[in-house]
Amino acid sequence: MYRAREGQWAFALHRISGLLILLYLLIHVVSISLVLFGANAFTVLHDIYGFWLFRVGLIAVTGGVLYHGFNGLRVAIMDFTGWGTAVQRQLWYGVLAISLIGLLITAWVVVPRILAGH
Amino acid sequence: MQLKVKIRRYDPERPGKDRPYWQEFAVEAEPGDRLLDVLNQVKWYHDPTLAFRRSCAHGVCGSDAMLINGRNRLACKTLVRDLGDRITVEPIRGLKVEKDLIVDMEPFFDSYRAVMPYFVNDEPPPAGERLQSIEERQQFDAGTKCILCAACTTSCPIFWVNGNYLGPAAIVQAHRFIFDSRDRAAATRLAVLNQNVGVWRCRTAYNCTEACPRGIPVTQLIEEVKRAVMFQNA
Amino acid sequence: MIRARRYQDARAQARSNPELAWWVFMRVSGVVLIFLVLGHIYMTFLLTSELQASYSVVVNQLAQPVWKIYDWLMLTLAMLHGVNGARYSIDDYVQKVSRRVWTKTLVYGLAALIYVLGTMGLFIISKAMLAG
Ligand code: FES
Repeated sequence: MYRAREGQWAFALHRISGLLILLYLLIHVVSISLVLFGANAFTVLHDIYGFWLFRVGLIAVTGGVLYHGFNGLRVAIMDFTGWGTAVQRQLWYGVLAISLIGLLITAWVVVPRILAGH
Repeated sequence: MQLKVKIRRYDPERPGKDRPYWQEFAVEAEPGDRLLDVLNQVKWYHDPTLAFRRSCAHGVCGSDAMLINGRNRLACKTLVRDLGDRITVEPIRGLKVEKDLIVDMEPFFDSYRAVMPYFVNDEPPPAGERLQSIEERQQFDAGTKCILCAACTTSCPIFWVNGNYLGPAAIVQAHRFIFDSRDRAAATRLAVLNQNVGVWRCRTAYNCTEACPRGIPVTQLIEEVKRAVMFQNA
Repeated sequence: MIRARRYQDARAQARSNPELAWWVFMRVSGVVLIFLVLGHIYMTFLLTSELQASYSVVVNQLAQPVWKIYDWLMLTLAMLHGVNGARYSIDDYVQKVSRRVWTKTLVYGLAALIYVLGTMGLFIISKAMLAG
């Protein structure tokens, strides 16, 4: 393992989260498109997604989207401004903070629903 | 102080040693010694077959970049007291290992040559010098410090997996001439860098910037080249 | 692939390509997607439980032109952004040429298929589907 600092982990997380979000997007579009094949096809899958593990997974997807989005903003700042690279580390901690707060808020809203089953 | 030095060894010509393996040496050293002194001790008093490159021993020739305790550094600029008493030394990554700590640098220098790392100006020479303002000189100052040790290129997570990437060192060298007000070949250099394997492979992981023994803000220079490509094509 | 012993080789191998355009696209679409996707997540996952999104709810919502346009824009940008990101990754991690061609064909093909499916879905859905 190369003992690098923040930038390498920012990149690794960005790439992994991006690929996982793409995977989720493909699955998500297929499941919503089942509407075309009638109420039954849609509902069968919809009910499966009600399983608590999938719902926790959605919280994780939200966290991934927040990280990927805001780290992408960090990348764009580094690319298009002269000062971005000098503060990339601080920007990354900001990205982590935003993602974490967003994740906690999501969990705070969604976890009670999962526990209550609605 | 007593050191335990673990070295990644490989010798394709000796049966039994023709696969990479770890070997540990116990070495006595001062905290103020450089890692290069430690390697010399190993070579001179423990195992003369140990192979590594070094020349100037003062951080200017760029021969002895290695992966030391998980980071790319020059053995001759790294002090034992900054490493602790357990030290691991590996060859730099992404280039073919030839023997022990020596890697094949040819692909690295191929990328270097690909960006025209020399001054181009066909205009008739002026009567005096080609004058430059302090600001104009400042623009490419960082790139002039490069010693082509390959510490940056071989610290890049993209270069490890994709050896076609020209790599940070070649881009730094290109930057040094692209932003030189006296040079006239910026457009042709930018055409080479505006490729799938050029600046667009950079994912801004900053390993190169942290690895550079000369303190060059490598990632920032790469970003400047990206913008130069963009403005040239705008 | 540029692996040149001299600059002349490098220039001979350098050709015009869309990499710069993709690079700019990734940044611009990324900024737009932050708003679209976070808005989408907020509306369908935080404001209401995603369990409420039953067949009739989904059809009712996607029957409205404004959501058709919103979702289709998001779908298009996300697909292009995501697949291009996958292309970057494949170019890095899949080095064997034949395997790279196969991986790309598979990923592009699958994404295109799902994109067509999603687009069709968005434009076909109408309230009439609830009648039956
Ligand atoms: S031996 Fe010359 S740079 Fe280290």
